[in-house]
Amino acid sequence: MSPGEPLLEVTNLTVDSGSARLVRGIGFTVARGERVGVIGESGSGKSLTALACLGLLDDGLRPGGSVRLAGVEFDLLGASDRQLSAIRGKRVGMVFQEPMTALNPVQRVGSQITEGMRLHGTRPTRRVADEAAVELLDRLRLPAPRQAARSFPHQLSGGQRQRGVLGIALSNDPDLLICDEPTTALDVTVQKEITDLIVGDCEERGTAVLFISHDLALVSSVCHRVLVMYGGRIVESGPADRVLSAPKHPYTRALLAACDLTPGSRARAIPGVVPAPKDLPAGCGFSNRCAYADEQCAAPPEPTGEKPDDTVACWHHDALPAWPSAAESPDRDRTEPAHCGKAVDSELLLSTQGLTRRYQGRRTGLFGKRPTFRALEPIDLDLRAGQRVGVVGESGAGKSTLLRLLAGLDRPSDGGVRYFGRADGPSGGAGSRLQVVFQDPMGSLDPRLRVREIIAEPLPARRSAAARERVSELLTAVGLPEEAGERYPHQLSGGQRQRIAIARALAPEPAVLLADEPVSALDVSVRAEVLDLLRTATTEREMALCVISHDLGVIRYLCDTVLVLRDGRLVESGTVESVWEAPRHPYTKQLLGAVPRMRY
Amino acid sequence: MRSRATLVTGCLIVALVLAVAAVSMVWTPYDPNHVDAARQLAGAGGEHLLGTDQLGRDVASRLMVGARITVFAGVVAVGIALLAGVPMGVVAGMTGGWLSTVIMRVSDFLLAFPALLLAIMLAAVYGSGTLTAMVAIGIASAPGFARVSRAATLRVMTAEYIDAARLAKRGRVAIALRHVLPNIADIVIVQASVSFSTAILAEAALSYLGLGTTPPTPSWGRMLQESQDLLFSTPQLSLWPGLAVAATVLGLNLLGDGLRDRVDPALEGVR
Repeated sequence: MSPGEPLLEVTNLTVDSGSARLVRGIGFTVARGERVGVIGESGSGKSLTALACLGLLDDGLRPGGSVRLAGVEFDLLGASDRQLSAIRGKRVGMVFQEPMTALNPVQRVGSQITEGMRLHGTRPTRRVADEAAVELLDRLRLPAPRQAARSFPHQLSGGQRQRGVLGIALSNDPDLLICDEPTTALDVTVQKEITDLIVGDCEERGTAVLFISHDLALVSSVCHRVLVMYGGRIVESGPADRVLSAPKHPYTRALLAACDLTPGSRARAIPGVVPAPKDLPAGCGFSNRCAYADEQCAAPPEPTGEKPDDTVACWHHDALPAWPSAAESPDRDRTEPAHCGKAVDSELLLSTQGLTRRYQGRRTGLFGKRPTFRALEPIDLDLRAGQRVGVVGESGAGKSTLLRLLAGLDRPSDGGVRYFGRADGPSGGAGSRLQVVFQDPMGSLDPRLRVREIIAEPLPARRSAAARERVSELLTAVGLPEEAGERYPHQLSGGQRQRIAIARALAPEPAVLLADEPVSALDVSVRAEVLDLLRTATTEREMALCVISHDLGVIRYLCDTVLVLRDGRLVESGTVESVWEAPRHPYTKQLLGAVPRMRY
Repeated sequence: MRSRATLVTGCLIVALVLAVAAVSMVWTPYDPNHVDAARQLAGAGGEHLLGTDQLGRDVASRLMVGARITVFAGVVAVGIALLAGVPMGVVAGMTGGWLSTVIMRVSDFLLAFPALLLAIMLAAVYGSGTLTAMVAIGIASAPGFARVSRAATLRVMTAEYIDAARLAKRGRVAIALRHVLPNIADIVIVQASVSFSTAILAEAALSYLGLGTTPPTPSWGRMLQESQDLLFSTPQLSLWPGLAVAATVLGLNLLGDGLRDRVDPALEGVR
């Protein structure tokens, strides 16, 4: 093998599902020791590309084209399972998104790591393999690696499990590591640890990485080079700094603009939705959402560029205005009035005194006491009209517990919530003057009801003509066509579903709107429009907004006050700007430091 | 496409059984209970399409009338099981706590109680007959429905749309009718089609033991029982009712599977 030869060479890769072409002929290379990022929204074909390279596509999906790995004489695409088995786990390791399902729940972590070593014969005896697994876990900075190797997956935390998955992938010192959204299911601080680990370890050993993510900032902090995918094609590729600082393709530009949640700016959503593969325009896949599209775009543009690894597939990339252009970048002039000062004297809508939630665990012995677990330590909180409060923290911090208590969906162990100045009993609740937007727009809409019925749910007389009118009004307000009312939730995209959830919450004209991770299940391009919708809907009506998120950017974009929770305890609170600029608590500093930022 | 074929086949078989049962009310080739000593155990074909039994009764006519009893038996048994089991399961799943415990323990007790013993007890009190046998089978299958619907309800109750409904100030009954029942319907339909099949088989078994349909009324189960002595000399006598039972059960299972896929709007795109 010559030194100049790429480690992985993908040529004209396609994936067909029978009814549609999901990956439409893409080609790229990965050099030895190079870290290549693949950026794209859901449905762009980025995960399929990775799976196709390893022959791991589901039944019913047919790959085409060629995938060559240096030092392997056959094409990975046509290879038999037996041939691929010799490569998977040995030359190429894979890290999956969800660390819980990637590990076998009934097998110890150590033996899952040694399995690959022993199968591939790199460390054939059990004793040697066991030692190697412990060393590997130590290298991956797992505290008490020997004990971790003996643990079952459920005994480890999410980050520890993902280190275990990484351990399996790295067990045979592969030449290439494929990571498919390796940190999406993890908290920010853990995400930083894991990506630092991937970068550090691969740098040290010269392992190449194919890093798939929807998070531009994360990719920019990990990779040397990026590929931007849209509609099953690579629309732009090049060095990470060039692509992210001087994007050439309209889609890359739009994506960057949609990601920018700098306060005072207005994030720009990409118009339209990511079309289903069979509805993609025949030529340039992005042409139906692109501001620069014309008749030439009906023909598919070829990737062009001075160098083969710095390309853009757009007919008009030369004619685009310089980046950042006023028309595409977030418009920063549009500052909104600050709410922090004036909210103090407005109506008190919601207040808590010593609000606490404890859960009782299982009795450990016959006469043992039931252990109690404090999900939320006593918390005092006031929410006034027009105030926008963000609650930030990692999983297990008590954010969702707090929201459920505020919404009256759960009963506090101690303390209580006063709604609108009244001292209601625990069962009183706030009535429909308080509404919630939930995290998962699929789970929060009843799949058996039509959109119209869903939105009308909180209305008093939901079959009346007035209710019908109100639903139509709400559909328009959230930017959906009237016909959408007759559809079922599954017929709509994620962003549209979340807009329906918002329309339902706004239906009874609530005074308080609670939002639980309102955009974490959404793609970047629609995230902005949902955030804007929440922002305009609440400011127009002087609504109090309480947003829960693990994403500091979202809080900063939407809120003026922030509460930082950790292990059920309030560790810091203040105006967003003051906490952002000068965090006082070490945990807040750690949290802010872990947020991936655009490097370029 | 496959689930559509399943549904159509199931529908056709079930429709055929229903049609035969309906026609038997107005017309049968012969009087099903007419004993013709001169023509015992005639073979299939000829004057009697499917031959005659040991008393010279026309088998085709008896099968047609038997379909009536069989459909009636299935409807009664599944109806009782549905009406008793599903509300038990939904209430247990939605409330939790002591009420749920009580309901599920009652259902466990019913489940542990042998269905045959229940049928014998009911037959002793009310006299044996198709209805008695079916009530017994219905009661015996109710716990299955309760368990299945409780499990499905527990799953539905964790969904955020239930929280959203609570925030919309919907009452428990409204939530049960509007959100829980439609979302557990797929599982209940499958359970119903399986129960329908078992009810038909159980009717046959109970009739066979003399606890179900009383002579001379024909039911498929009774016909099987009466043909037992002649199994080796004239096997076709057992063949026809056996085939009828097998085909109907198959048809119902196909129908249930097809319906399950049909009621789920989310599967529309998949088909």
